[in-house]
Amino acid sequence: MNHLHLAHPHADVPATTPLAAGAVRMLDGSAVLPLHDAEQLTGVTVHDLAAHRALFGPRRSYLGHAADTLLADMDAVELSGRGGGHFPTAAKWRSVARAGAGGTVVANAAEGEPAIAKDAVLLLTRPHLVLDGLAAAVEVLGAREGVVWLHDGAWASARSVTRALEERRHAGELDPPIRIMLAPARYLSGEATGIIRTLEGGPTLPRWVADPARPWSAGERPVLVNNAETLARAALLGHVGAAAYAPTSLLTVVSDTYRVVVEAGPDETFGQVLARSWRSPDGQAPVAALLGGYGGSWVRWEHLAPLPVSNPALKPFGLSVGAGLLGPLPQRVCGLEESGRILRYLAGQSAKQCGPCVFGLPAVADLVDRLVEGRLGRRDKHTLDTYVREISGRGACRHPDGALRMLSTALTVFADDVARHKHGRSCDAPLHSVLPIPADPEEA
Amino acid sequence: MSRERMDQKAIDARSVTMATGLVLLVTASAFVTSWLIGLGVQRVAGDKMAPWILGRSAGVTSYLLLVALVLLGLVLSHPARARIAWPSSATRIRAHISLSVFVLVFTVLHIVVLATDKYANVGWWGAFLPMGSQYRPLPVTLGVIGFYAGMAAGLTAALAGRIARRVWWPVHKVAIVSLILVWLHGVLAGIDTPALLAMYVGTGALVVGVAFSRYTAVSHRDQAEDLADVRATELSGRRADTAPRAVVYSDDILGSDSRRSS
Repeated sequence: MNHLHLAHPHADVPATTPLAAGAVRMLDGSAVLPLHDAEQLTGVTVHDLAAHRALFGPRRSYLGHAADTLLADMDAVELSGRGGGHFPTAAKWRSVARAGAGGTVVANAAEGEPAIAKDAVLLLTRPHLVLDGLAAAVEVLGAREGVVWLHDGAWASARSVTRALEERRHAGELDPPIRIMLAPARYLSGEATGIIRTLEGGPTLPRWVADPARPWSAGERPVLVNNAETLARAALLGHVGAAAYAPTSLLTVVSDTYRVVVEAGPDETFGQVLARSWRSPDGQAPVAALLGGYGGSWVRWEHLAPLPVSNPALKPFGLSVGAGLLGPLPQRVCGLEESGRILRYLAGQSAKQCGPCVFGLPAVADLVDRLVEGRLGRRDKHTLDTYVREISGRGACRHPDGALRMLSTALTVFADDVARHKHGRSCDAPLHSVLPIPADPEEA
Repeated sequence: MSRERMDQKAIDARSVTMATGLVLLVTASAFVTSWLIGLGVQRVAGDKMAPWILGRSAGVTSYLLLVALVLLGLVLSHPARARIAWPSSATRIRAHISLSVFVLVFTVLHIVVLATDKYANVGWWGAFLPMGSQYRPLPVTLGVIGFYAGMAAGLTAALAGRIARRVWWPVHKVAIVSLILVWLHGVLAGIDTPALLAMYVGTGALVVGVAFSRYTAVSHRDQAEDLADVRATELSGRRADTAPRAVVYSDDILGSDSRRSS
């Protein structure tokens, strides 16, 4: 049931690649912020418009041939979508451009993932980089307007973007119209088809698309949804050029009481990133880590630690930086119980539209609960395998697929915990949980 | 041997056990049925009332099987069906299909016996045409229409998978009309003892109760509608002058506690 080619200790580990001399990174440090919101952020300098322009110069216009140069640069650095899908950005832009002018470009910063804060960090410290990228995309595609898409409750980000837009207006910047929209505070509010549906006047819920590789609206008014980090990277690329662009990744590393957003490059391994960004509760290395997001993959730490933080290097192992979560699991926490909690949360965050997700995910979560409680019979084990196999790929969006990928990798990576629970022996490690899960507002 | 192969072996062994058990059960029930039929034939042999008794008992059997069929159908479509662990959903759907076959068999027996029984005064016309019966035309007509409604429900379900769900599913729901008509048919024509009256009242109340639970439970469609009601809102910024109105404003954004929770 596990389709991942997990890194084997004896397999060839790809080497790290050094960054070019003078490569320009996005952040000047690691951002430290609380577990549940993005207020009181420290560690990264906030760039207001003056600081931003002093660093990069005026915003470039992409109304003419400059658009081709930017697209060529995006190809050269293989810029890919940082919302988690890592779809080639230039290909997406070209395809939307073919659908016609007059549409909308969305900077998607509704981070539904409870643990991830990279987009919030960008909006709080580099708002003008995101807005430059949004303006660039609007111009390249001949779109009519830009939208900064936040989720309800992301007040720190909303304040920062509002202030940044004011600054630009006072400075007389020639930006296209840009407005801020607040999505419902839900896990799936950042899902691209739901954003497109909203802009077309519908609800903020995912919808079925014929070709999942093309989740943009190709109606009369095309809608391009790009992750905020992707747009910030496009802006950085436009400012410094492909040669000086640093192909880094923004990882959110979760410790027990805080999170750190680090900019890690292909010149670093996950082990090195963890060493400078994570506080181990017991001074020991973690057992495993959840990589990508809550719909990502669990990987044993000894397998992940030597790998470079680079999506092309991870791909042969069936892994992806995804949306940039690095959730280390300390020695004294049970990975199976942790995965069960995340699965239960994801099941609750379904848009309730497709049967496999509505009925399948809670049923699987129930089975995992039985497994944790040591009440899982042979027959249940078979049912669990069947569910995992039959639910995957059958929703309109990828929500159930991600949830089940997380579970499948957990059952493999935490095989020892699974065996202990199966024999009714309680796990010797359930001290506390580590990965944050928002409180259910309906229960509060 | 890998764990998966061991699991597979365990599953194979279990299906062999189950198949053997099923064969023994069917054999035993065949013996019991034969014995009961023999007993019945001995009782009514040479009796002019034999077809009447056979027809009526087939009718009552058919009604009880139909009640079980509809109850199982309500369970199959209950919003909380995923929470029902036993019997498994596969077993439930198999039982639903098997029951429908037996409902048909006993209904056909009921119709054939009473249509051919001169004493019953129903006749073939009465058995298939509304108001065609000399004997209690209205109750018999209710049964006739109930039979047609049941056939429509059964035939559309037999086509499920071959034709679109939006075509067969609404038609399949006439099964509940069938049960109501058959219930009236039974109550109006078949309660000559208090026991039968109690049976009709009891089973009717049971179906109404389960149907109430099924149709008042919060379905995932209700939940999706609740989620859809929470709309995105505009915060600030400049919008394109000619851009279409893209956002539907809603007061509901703060009203989540007023909505149904589940």
